[in-house]
Amino acid sequence: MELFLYTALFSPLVGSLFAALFGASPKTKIAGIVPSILLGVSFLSSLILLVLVMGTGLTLHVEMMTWMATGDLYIPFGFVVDEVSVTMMIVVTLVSTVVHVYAIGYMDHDKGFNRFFSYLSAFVFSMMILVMSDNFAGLFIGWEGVGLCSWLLIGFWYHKESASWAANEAFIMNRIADLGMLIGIFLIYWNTGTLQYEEAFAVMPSLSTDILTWMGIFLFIGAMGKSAQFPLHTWLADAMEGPTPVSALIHAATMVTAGVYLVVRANPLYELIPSVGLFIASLGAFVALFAASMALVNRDMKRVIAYSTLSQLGYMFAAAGLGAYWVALFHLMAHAFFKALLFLGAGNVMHAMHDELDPFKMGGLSKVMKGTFLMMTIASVALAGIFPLAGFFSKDLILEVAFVEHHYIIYTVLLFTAGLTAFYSFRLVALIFHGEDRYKLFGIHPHEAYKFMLIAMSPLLLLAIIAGAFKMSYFEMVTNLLPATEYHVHSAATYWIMTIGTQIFVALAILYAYKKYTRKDIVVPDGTSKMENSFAYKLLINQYYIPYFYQEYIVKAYRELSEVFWTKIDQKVVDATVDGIANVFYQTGERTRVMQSGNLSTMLKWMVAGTVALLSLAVVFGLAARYSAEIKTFLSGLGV
Amino acid sequence: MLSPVNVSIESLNLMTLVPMLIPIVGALLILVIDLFKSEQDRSLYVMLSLLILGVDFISLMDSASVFHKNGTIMGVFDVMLIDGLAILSQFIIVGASMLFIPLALTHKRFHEFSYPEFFALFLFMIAGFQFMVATDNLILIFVGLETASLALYTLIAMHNRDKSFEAAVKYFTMGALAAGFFSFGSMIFYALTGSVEINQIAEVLSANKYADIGFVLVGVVFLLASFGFKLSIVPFHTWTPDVYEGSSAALAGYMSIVPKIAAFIVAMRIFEFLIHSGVVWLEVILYIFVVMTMTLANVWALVQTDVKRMLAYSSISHAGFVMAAILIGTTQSNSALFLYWILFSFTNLGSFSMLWISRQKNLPAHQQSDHSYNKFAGMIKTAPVAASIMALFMLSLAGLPPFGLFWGKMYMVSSAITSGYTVLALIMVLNSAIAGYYYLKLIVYMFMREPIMEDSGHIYSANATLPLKTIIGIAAIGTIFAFLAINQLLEFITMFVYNSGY
Amino acid sequence: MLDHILSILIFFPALAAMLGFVVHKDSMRSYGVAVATIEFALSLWLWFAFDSTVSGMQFMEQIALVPTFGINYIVGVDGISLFIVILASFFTMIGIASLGETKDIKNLIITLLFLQMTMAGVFSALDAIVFYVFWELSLVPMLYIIGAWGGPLRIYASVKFFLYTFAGSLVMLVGMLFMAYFYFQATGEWSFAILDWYRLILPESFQLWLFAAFFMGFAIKVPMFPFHTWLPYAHGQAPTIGSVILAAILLKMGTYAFIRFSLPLFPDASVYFMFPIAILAIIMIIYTAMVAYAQKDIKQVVAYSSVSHMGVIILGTFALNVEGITGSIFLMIAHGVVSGALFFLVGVIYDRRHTKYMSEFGGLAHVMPRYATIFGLMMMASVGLPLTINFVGEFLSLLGFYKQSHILTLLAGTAIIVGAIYMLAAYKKMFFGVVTKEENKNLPDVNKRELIALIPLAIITVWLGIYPKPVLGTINTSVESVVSLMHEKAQTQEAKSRIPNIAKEASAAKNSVEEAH
Repeated sequence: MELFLYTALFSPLVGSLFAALFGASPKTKIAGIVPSILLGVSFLSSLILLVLVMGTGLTLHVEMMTWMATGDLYIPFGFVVDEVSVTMMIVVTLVSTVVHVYAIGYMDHDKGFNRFFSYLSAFVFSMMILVMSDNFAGLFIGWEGVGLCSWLLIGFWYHKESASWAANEAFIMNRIADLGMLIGIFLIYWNTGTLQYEEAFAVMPSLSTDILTWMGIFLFIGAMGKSAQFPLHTWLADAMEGPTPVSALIHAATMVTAGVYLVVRANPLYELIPSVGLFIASLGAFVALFAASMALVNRDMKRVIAYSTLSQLGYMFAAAGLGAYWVALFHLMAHAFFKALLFLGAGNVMHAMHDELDPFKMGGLSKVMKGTFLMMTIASVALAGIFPLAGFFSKDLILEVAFVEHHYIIYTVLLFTAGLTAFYSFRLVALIFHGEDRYKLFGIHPHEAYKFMLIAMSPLLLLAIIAGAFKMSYFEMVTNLLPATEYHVHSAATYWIMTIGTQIFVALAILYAYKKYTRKDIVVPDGTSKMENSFAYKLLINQYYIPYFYQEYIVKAYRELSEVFWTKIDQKVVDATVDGIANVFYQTGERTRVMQSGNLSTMLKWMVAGTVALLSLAVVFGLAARYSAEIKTFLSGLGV
Repeated sequence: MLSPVNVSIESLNLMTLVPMLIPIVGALLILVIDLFKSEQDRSLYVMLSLLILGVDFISLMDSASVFHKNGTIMGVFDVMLIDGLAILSQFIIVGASMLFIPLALTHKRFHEFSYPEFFALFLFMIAGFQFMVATDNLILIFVGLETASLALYTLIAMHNRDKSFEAAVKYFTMGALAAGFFSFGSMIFYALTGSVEINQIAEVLSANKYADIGFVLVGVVFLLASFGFKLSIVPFHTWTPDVYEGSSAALAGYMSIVPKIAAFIVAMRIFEFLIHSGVVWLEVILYIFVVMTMTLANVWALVQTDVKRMLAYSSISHAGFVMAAILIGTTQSNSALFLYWILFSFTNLGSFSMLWISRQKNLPAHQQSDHSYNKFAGMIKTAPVAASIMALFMLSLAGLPPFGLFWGKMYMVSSAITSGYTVLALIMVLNSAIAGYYYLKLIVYMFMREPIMEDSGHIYSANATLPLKTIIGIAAIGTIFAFLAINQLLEFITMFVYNSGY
Repeated sequence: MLDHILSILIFFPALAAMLGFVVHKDSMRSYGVAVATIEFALSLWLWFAFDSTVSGMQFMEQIALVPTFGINYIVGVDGISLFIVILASFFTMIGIASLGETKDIKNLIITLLFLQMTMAGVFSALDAIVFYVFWELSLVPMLYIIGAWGGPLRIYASVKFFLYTFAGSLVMLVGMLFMAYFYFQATGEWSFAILDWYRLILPESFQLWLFAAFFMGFAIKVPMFPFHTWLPYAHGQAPTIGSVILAAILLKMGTYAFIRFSLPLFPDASVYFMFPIAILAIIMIIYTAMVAYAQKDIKQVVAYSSVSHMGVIILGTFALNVEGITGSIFLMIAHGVVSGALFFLVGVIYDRRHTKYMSEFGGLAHVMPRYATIFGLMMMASVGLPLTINFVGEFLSLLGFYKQSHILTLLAGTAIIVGAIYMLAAYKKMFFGVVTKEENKNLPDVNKRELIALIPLAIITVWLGIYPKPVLGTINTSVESVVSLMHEKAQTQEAKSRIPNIAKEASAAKNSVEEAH
């Protein structure tokens, strides 16, 4: 069994290293194919492990070797395959296999081909470490590893200023969150004396609530970074600078969900601190709405999808925060499938449109790109949560959870967001595939992507459709580990009203989107139309001016402060003081050297002067000694 | 009517005079030789004086062993006082002189060395210093002082350059003043106590509980002034740089060591009993002197442009450093003084000799002085060995371990600490830090600047001959491997100092 | 031979340097490499022969030097000093091996060998005065290296470096003499042997003063804020090899001395000064990181970054528990490797373009992919990415200090953010974007000679990042004994509580290790 575990874990690494061998040499297909195959292997072994875990219900726990051991700190490289991690493994390996194969086509003309695959596989490896480790330190390794890889991949086209800037932004923002994570880890260590999941969680119930609360908060700060929750969300949209497969794999399916995974993994902790849970849920709901709103108006295909990812992550956190960990995990899985599909479809479109991202400049592509059209539409339907596709089961469940837990505000927000989701998804679909062929104006001749790319995407398509079917069996499995709370609206009537109501609401949103964006008279907005000058539009298109705020008041401030520290404080104060002290002596020398005139009479004068000075001192002292008694009386007379 | 004085020769034990008589006899011998056959080569005189000093050294060893057996010896109507201090200091005096005398055998002919009188005077001077240290009789001290000084003035003047005459005159005039101070000071003490023997003065004073402290202080002031002159304590130091610059580098080096140790001994004898008997005033004044001398001399040394003048100031500052020993006045500090001075004489003689061998016959146009820093620029390129040795001496002077002077400094500072002078200790080390700068300055010139002299190498050893190189070699070895000898030295010194009750 | 291996390690390079004067300058490089390699082999043998289960000193030698004053030549190594000794000889080796075309290379190599002697001496000396001797001696070769092979400001830089450190260590000397005097008062005999001093328990008031005296010496060497300003000059002006050894080894003298002297000798004072020093350390971390961000010159960035990292080391040291101290010692090695490598890398580009201004570069990743890769790796290590050598050290140091103060650790933790900021910014400026400057268009990538230095460093960086155990374990053993010593010696309640009682901890650790196997 361990064999499968290690295969699942390390074959991506092997693939990465293999591709790295060709790092410097020009593009070779092999550098793409081998890693893809290895990932397939990894996927298969994960599948076997899944079967094992589902079948026997027993979990696999291995310890490879010691990493750090000092004092009574002991951190091994330990890996665990249980219901939660195996789910993640399946998701990760499946999506990444698909993406790899897809990327062979997508990156076909890129001269960084080999490098790309080495990075991509490295990412998968880090992700596997993240999900498989049996302790927080191991988690942190993966955590930082995926951070590194996302830095490499966002900045993959490093000749583009924007790309390398976005990469650094992503890395640094994640670092901010990671600090919180690190502190959380320290807290856990000093309070539980270990970083192993089981042992730590075993001790936790005996700890005081506020310590636990701090732990929960700091760990969640870490999660906020990776999952781009407000206010650390800006990097995700900018991360779209990376190649589209990267967006599909890292910034939709896997890495960004690491935060959710962390919360789910740490459920014993969050079970103990419902208040923090509620905060997480509220933040999730807020982000869901917040992100969706920004997606409404954005004119960058990939950014729209990115925002939808953000808002879906909000859903997941809402679920996890409310204690419905398995629901969160389920939505995570389903979302991974259709969102990856959506991104890859977008990738096809980009290829067809020569990296044009503005959907207003497209239109009517359904004629030339049937496959992509089909896939993206289905993915959008799934995302919108229409029965019977994956999204319906996972997302409606979250709504139910909110309802059943009597958090009606959250429920309403999420419900409303569902509508928005449907709207912007189909706004996109409509703009891209229907209506006039606006792209003709730009002299572009779109073409469908390679067949094998479409074929590569098909598993995702399939899962996006049927994933919902696994709901119950999945529930059976995962609830061995996670709290098994069934969420059922008590009266069947309410249930049906809710479900159907939701469906209708969503459907209406879709229809509205279609009606609005398949009209003949849609033109590329030029910033003149009334709508574009409305305050709301400006607010949304500028992402609530948050990036602007960060740029102006944090980045700039930091830079200027550093400048001041260097030029003013370090040079003008600290260093100047040191040199000043040295100069004091030197200057004294310069000034007093006149004493050495070399003139004999002055010399004699000095000697005599010295003697006289001494003499006078002596006399004074002598008198003082002689008349000490009198002086005393005198002084006492003065009352000194 | 006077009763005939009858004293047994034994009670005089004239043996105590032997170490002083040897150089005197030697000096006369040289003069006699000159009478019979003049125009001899200087090498003859050098070797003769070396031999004489050698004999002197041996006789010192003899008296050392005697002291070792049965303690302090008085002699010649208890005028002579052969105690540990006397012996140790004489060792230093004679030893340093032995190191100095071969420096006369330069490559270039400096005419003072062609006169036998030079060597005769030199030996007389040594005898004078020996008398100074080997007595506690103020008059004899005065006699010794004057003998030595007068001889020294002449020696300086013999290096005939107008600068040297000037130096000699200055030195002489100020010396005269100092002598006046000294005699006046001792007069006062005689008036107070009716004795010129330091130990009796001490007894009398303590007997009447320092009743008239005022007069004592006046006396002390004058003695301080005169010794301040000899030890070049600020503000009595003004002669030092000029005189050093005027006289030949070798002689300057010599002056920075031998006269001072003699003066130190006397200062010890006179001042320490006063301090110990609680004359607070003196303690305060000495404290001020020590700090002023160390610091100001350093500060002036920083701004010098001529290496020789820099070394002059540096030796002033070293003197101040060592004055601290007298202020502290414990056995450890006194031993530290000797240890320091022995190591110092090696290093300092070495560095002055380095200047000496680089001395041109007459000053080139582009140099404002004989040993300007610029002269040494880029020396590592042209004369690496010489540069390294010079650097070695500089580092030692700066007190960088493990070179000679470090151990002296360390022991001195430690003595300050053990007797509670913490602030003084800090001032001392910080001064060594300041001093680091100007020693480093020379190293920087030698190792890091580009050479500005077109003529390569040989100017740095213009004067080099085998004897000179030997002396420098000895100095260098003494500086590097000091740490091997420290233990024996320390034991030896401590034993002598302790047994002579200091 | 093994009984005298330390003396051999110390004096063999010096001897070799002496003989080096005879060697002809054309074959000097190979001579230097040979000598350094032998030295390194010896140090490896030392590791091999070292018994990592023993916490005390090993390979001790003792020769009377000035017994009347208690000064003896005593050397020995324990887990704390062992790896720094090895690192020193290692850097000397690769440093000489990777030397480029330099003027009078002969003097340079001789100087380096002398430097190696002093470094080996400092880290194995067990007598305060002997320690001081090597400590001061190490200034001279570095002075010469900076002053003779440095940049335009070299003389100012070298003199500043020398005098600043010299002044500091003289104050330290006073402290040592005091310490010896107290020992004399307590036992009636002089001794400068550190191990003797360990047995001495001083009243707190004395401890505070002595701690301060030693602190002056160490803090300037480290260098700690606000005594750090000599470092940028020294690094900015020094030749590559100079900066490498300065950053990799010489700075470690200070932090090492803290652990060797300050902690065990003055446990109460260490606790007393813990928070002030921690605050200084945090200033070092954040402030210098920001200053680094403001630099135009890549070498200055690395220079300031190493100050910033030294802050973490200090913090770990003053965590006063096994995790923290072990971490800080490991971080010393890590920082040595990484910053050393970074200075090598800066040297590589400097040799090609003779400028260190980042604005001169840009898009180098196109031109020099291998160079970019290695630089990237080292940058990530310096940013403290897990599975690189630095992370282990930083993690443990911060973890350790967290026990003492939550909020301060939170502040210090920003190291991982600010570090990322200036490093990524610098990397972006140099390697990303398009090649603008004409002269950058066809720069040669790293060559064999440079790889000699870089490859081993890269390997160590990753290897010790993934498998630090062999090093960590050895350090841990010695640190535990130090901490327990401190706990026993501590007098104030504060100190007793702050310094963990290792007795139980040790057993606990042992158990957990047993569980591991």
